[in-house]
This record gives sequence, structure tokens and C-alpha cells, in this order.
Amino acid sequence: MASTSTSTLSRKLILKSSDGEKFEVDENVAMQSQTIKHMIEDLDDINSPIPVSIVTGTILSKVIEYCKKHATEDSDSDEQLKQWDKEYANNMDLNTLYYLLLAANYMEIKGLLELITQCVADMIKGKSPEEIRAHFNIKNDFTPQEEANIRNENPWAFEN
Amino acid sequence: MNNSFNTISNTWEDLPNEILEIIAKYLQSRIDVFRFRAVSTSWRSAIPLPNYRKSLITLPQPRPATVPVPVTIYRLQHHTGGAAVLVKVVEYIRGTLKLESGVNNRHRIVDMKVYKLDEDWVTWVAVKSLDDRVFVLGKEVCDFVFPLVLRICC
Repeated sequence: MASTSTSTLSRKLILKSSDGEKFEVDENVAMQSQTIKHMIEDLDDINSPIPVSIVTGTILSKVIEYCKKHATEDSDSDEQLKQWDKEYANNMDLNTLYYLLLAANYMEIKGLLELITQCVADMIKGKSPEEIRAHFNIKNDFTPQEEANIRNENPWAFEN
Repeated sequence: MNNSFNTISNTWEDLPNEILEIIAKYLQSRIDVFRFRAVSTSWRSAIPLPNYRKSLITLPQPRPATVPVPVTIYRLQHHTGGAAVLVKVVEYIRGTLKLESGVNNRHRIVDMKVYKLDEDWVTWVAVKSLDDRVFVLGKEVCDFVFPLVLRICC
């Protein structure tokens, strides 16, 4: 049921996650995502669900939470918004952060991508390569020779 | 969060390069970037080496070429004789002959005789006192292999 009289602000879109969960959101919330913005431009019928193919419902709900906060032009000061961002990121476990990163990158939500990458960078700062690997469960795939070369290049980088 | 998403193992080493680049951008110190690049082959290839233009040792900024700066040539020789070393000292700030360098505690204090090339740059004049000034010679400053801090012996 195409509606022609509704204003842009009140238009609703339906986002569909990779696992089939549907979310109804205001258009200005969804438009925080450049990817969705481009998809809408190409769509004839915005009433049909928009597939967000690589993002699960669990993650998409968190993405939408962020977009809602940043779409509303309410009385929040920059400082309050920063504080909200900080708490939002701090509440995520490592697994969620990983999928949020991929989602923000895929959906092209610049603010969210910057927020999460900053958060990950903060986890890396001050850690040795071994500590970083342990934190993120990363396998050391250097050959012993490569690793020796890296250590020789910057021996001071490996001191704790 | 009780769905299958939690059971899928995430692989931080396989993050797309564009994401790794942004993460590295937020690492402020070079040591963190070096360590980042030492985590895995994929992380290493995603990020270029930090640039070396910012030296750890800060040398005084030269003034614009149009402003003449006093230059003094010194000859340094151990008080028992032997080979001498020529040093050019540029007086950037009037009254001080300070060459800043990142000399650490490994520096040595050596007794040396110091001769100064006179203003006509013709004869060597023995220097009796450097007042409270010191020469700091470091690898980056005068191409010395070992940092030396020289004290006048007159």
C-alpha cells in the first residue's frame, strides 16, 4: 500500500537481517547507513523489506540502537552523545564488537565504524604482540624466521 | 544473545584491510603500530610501517637561511694527545651552545682539551672555559658511534 501523502520524516522502512528478523525503523534512522540510503534510491517499493544480508538480527538491533540515537536531533549535547557512545561501546563483548565492525563497514555507518575501531584500538594500545593475540584469540602465523626478523627490526617494541 | 551468532568463531586476523587501517590510525604511538604489525601476517600486510620522519631525537630547528647564525668550529683532543675531532657548533639561541639529543644514561664523560678556531678561521685557540655549556655528541648529532658528553679539562 503505497502512501503518497506521508512526509519524508515519518516514512517507515523494514530492514531484514540475514537470519530473517524484521525491524521497522524510521527512514531517517535507516539513512544513517549510506548503503541503505543507496538501496532506497534504487528501490521502487520501499514497503518491501530491505535485506541487510550479512548482518544478523542480534547485531542489527544494536546497529539500529546506535542509528536511532544519532538520528534524533534532540537536546543532547555533543558531550552527552559522546558519553552515550562510550557506554554503548563498553557494553559490548568482544564477539559483538567484531560483528558490529563488519556491520558498520558493510552498512557504511561512519560514526559507528569510528566508534568501534577506536574502542578496538584502545584495547590494543600498550599490549605486546603476544598479549594482543591472546586478547583477540589470534593465531601467530609467522614462521620462526619471519618472527626473528621482526624482532630484530624493532627489538624495543617487544619489551614489556 | 542465545542464537547461533555466538558460536560462530570470529577471526580478528581476517578483518578487512580497510577496517585494520582505521584501527591502526587510532594507535598514536609508533611502538603500538610496530606491535600491531607483529601480531599476524594479515595485520602486518594491512598496515605500512610507521614513518620515520619523526626522529626520536629532536634537533634545534634551523632558522631560515637568510638569517646568519654564528658557527664555531672546535677541535677536540684527548688531554694526553692523539687524534683530534672537529666539531661544528651552531649558536641557535644567543648565549647557549646547546645541541639537544636523546642521550641516555649510557653517555660517558671524558676529559678533553678543546681548541676553538678563531673568528678568521685561521688559528686554533685553546678554550679555557665553556662556562656552564656542554657539548653533547650523539650518533644523530655528530656521527659519533657512541654518545659522549665532553667536559673541559684545562
